Amino acid sequence: MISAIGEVLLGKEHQVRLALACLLARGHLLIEDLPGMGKTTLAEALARSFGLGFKRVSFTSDLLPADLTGLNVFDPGAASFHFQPGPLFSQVLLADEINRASPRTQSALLEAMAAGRVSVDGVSHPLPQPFLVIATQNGLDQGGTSALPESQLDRFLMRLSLGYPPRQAERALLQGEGLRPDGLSGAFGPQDLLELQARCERQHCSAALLDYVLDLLDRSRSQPAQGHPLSPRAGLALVAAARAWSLLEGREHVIPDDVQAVLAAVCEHRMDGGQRGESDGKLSQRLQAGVDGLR
Amino acid sequence: MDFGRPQQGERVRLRMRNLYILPTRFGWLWLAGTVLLQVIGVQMQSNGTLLLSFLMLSLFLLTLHLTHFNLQGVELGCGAPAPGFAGAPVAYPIQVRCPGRSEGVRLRLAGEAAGAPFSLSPGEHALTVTWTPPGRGWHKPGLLRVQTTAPLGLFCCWSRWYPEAAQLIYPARRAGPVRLLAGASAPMAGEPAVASRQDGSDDWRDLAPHRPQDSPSRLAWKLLAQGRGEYAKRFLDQPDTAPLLAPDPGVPLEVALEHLSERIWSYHGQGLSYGLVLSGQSIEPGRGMVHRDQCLAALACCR
Amino acid sequence: MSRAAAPLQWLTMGLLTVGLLGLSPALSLSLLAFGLAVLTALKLREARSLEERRVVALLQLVGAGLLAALRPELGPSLLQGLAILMALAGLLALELGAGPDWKALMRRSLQVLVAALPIALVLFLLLPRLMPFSSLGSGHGMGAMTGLSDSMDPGSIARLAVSREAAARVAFPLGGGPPPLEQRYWRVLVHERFDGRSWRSTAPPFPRPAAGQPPAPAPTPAAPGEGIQLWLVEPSGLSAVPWSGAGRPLSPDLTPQRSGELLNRAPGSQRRVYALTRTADPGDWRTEPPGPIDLVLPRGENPRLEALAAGWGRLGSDRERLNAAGSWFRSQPFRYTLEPGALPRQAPLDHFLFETRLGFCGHYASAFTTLMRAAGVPARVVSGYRGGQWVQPVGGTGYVDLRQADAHAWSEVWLQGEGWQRVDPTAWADGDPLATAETSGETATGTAPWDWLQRQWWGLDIAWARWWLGYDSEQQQALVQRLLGDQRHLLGLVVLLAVAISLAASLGGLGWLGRRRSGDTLRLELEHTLRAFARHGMAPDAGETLPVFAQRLTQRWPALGDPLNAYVGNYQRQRFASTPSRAGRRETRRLGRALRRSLRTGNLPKEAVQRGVPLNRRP
Repeated sequence: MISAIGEVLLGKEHQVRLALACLLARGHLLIEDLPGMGKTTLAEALARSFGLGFKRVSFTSDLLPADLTGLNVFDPGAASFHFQPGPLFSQVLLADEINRASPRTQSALLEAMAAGRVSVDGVSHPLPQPFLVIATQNGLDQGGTSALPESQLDRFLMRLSLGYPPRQAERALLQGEGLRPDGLSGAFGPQDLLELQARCERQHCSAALLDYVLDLLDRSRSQPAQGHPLSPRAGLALVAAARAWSLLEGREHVIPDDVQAVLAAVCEHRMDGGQRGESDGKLSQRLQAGVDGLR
Repeated sequence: MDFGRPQQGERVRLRMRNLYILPTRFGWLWLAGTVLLQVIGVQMQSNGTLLLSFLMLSLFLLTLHLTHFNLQGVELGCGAPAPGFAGAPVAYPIQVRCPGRSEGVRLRLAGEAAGAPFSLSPGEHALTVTWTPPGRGWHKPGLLRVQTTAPLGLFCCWSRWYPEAAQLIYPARRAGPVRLLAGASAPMAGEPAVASRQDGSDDWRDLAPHRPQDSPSRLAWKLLAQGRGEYAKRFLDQPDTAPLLAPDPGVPLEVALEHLSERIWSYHGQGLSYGLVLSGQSIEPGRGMVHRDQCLAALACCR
Repeated sequence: MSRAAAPLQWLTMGLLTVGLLGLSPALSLSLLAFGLAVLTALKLREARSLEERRVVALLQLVGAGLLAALRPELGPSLLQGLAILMALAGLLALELGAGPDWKALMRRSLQVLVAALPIALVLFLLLPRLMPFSSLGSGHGMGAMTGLSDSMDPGSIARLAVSREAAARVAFPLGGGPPPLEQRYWRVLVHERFDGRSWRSTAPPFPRPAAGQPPAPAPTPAAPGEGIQLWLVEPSGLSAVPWSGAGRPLSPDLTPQRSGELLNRAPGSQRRVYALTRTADPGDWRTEPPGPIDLVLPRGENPRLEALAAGWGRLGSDRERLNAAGSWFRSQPFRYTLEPGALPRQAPLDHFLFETRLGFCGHYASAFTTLMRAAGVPARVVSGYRGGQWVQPVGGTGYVDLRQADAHAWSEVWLQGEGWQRVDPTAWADGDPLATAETSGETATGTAPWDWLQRQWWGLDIAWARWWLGYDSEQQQALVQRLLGDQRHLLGLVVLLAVAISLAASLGGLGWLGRRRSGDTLRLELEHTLRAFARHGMAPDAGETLPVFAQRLTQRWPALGDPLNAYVGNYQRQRFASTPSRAGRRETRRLGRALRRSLRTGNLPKEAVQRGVPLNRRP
């Protein structure tokens, strides 16, 4: 399947894999990139390969929370209100330029992401399962944006940057060799995804591996000069993502290599406090180099 | 007990030649206790007391070596010091590589209080020492003394070293008046005007074909009603006017720089944009950590 | 400073206090120890800085040393050892930072102590002993101990006879069992002075070398080795200590008196350990002629007794008089009892001999001795212990266990030509406990497990006294003699060499302990393999994982690819999979060995092997 998505996103196999791991680990994805790098394509490809419902919302500063969650609409026929679900009620939601929305709207989205449900007028509506938010964020050195605060960044399991495709892949792209996402066959269904997610949680984490993760966390906390310390939630995210990665690798147990593979995606945005691009993956590299990987 | 030729250089390896070891005052006291016990043991013909006295003597001999081994072969190196502010304790990174286990290692910079002792396992360690830099600019922290008295405190083994790497010190942060140059609402020289204007919600700008992800509130209903197809309205925001900070001419330069330092820090904390104009250089408005550090570095190096 | 430092130091303080408890406050050194303990506790209470706390630890060590001089027995020594261990742990806690907890500190303290022990033992065993600079006028105990007293009246021993308190233990290091039961008379005091009611000892309460007395002849150098008897005597308050009457004491502060007492110049309030050695002239006190005091008798107090004795006095020789008395005693219905009732103030011995005929050893010894004196035979009362139980502890030397209940009094009479002879009139009485014991085998053995434990402990105590407390200057000389023969002048060199060797061994051992990673065999095996590669200049980069490192190794040595893959795969499975197994671990070790072998056996390209790892491999 990775290769199938890889056909769509030429030359981005690692990012596709990470995005898939994020999906399997029930996490949400933050993509920071310039427009036109294939964010939509990635989201759509992910959604289609599992046969998931896909919606897209462009965030603007006048976007209200109700525009996302939906609202109670008066139904004259039944003489009562009924709930009209918003775009949040889809299985894959691509939230474009999340930093453009007002902080209120942002937090409504993030709360829904964390809780898996939406409360409108005191009634809570569960979100569909599986549920994946892929949010994109543009560079912060542009005006008129509200950067995601650090506490909200923590809610995204991973942050990716797609970057430019390699020359070879771009050539293929220009030649039109890439697939359109609609060409992806629905070999998997949402049920398969749920099952994979459940299997993901059963991946074995040995004591030695947990020690490795704990050492990483300790290291990040003992080196204040090297970025923000990692929270316990970051530790949970790291283990969940590593589990998903090990499943993608076809193993039944997690090894430090899995942790290292997802380390940059999971930890970099938690450590650099949202200052995109400045650390450029160096913080997590330094963190990784500071902890003995031989376990 | 603070003598010995200080080592120079980026890295230094502690060995016989540059390690010094002497009994501490407690060590001499210990010897006195040993002698006292010996006297009691001889006087009372008590084997237990005699053995204890010999035991203390042999501990003395043993710890001479154990204390020395704590530092023997240890390599010290400079890390890349992160900039800090003058007038406040600043962390200076020291890389330590231990061939074996090192106990009770203390690092101390001249004129500073000694830190708590570390117990270091074999391998690389990144430690920090704190010092209070005298002023802004590039500074070296001065003489570093590495010492240990572990395990029993009978001997003090030490070595001295001047770490080579200089640390950038920003002016101290002190609230005060700052000269605010007129807002740079006009585009900066050489910058395309359009780049400073962003999509937003303030001013109507344009129409574009409607995309499914666009909010219904942006749909150009009028056009739709006219049957001209689905269009979305585009708006744009005026970028905020970012102040240009400059030293207040009413106060001495050094103090003005300190005020600037504080102002930049607080602007950054509030997420505001700002620029900086100093004699001889100017930094365009911006925000973010890199921008802040750039501005502070300019302050630190300002002549 | 570790958080465990203060509790450790206080605990040490507590141990030292417990050690002080049994100390007699009359000794000047004890006072010193008390004072030191109080001082240390005060210092600890107010200590804030590192330096002060260090001094506390040192004071505690000195205190433990002082206690060791005052209480050298096995139990207190163990306590002192523990206190020393804890004091060291407290000192370590001051230096090692906040990290280690008290358990780790105790372990480390034990390591350091054990490492220091060989050097200390070398010095202890080989360095020549210095003699005391001067004999300290150590204070004397008060005789408030239970036990024998220097005044023997017939009723006094009955009080002791029910006490199961320990009195003394005697071992026979030269082997051989104990003497037969009827020979086990351990004399302590000789009572010669009789006032008609009680018998007093002539020994000064606290003897000093009398000025006029010629100094005791210098003891002929004893053959190195051990004495024939090793005594361990509980505090008694007496100036004499028990012995069998034969042999010569090894300690200079014990002197046999002419009366046959063994005088102890050290205070009797302390436990004593001493050894007796064989001597060439048997029993000089036995041939010491009696003085006039041995015939002194207040005449007219016991008229019937005097009348009876006067009859015997007409017999020719002392021996005949003795025999006549013996047969008289045996012919009368004397009965042994511990509760004979009080004797009247008037003619008490007459009352005992001719009316009640009930009594115990005090009565018999007193009456018999008086009879003998009345008959003109020099006689005296001896008190001490009789019998005792032979105890054979598990894996130790046997010893005779004497309790206060074994206290006894008997008579000695002077027979012309034979010297002083022991006569035990109690044995003639009906119901003498010793006779009963003889017929029924050993004295009743305590069967309670507590008794058994106590006997084992005393066995250890004996061994401790024999091997540890008995190691003195002479033993040391003998050891050096055995080691070096006539090369005595090399002693200094040997000591230096031995110290250097022990030091090196201790440092090596400590280093090994420090390098040793606890437990994890898999990890040890990995490190072994990594060291093998490090010798060829390949070490893992910072943060590098095993598969990545293995890839780099394979790039360098393609021939190693297969064993490497097998090893790494197996290792990773053992390490991270959910089902590690013992067999899998063995397999990993096997693969590791195979890998190292192929690394060794020149599967490597002939390239210049770069020695040492570049210092900083970080990018």
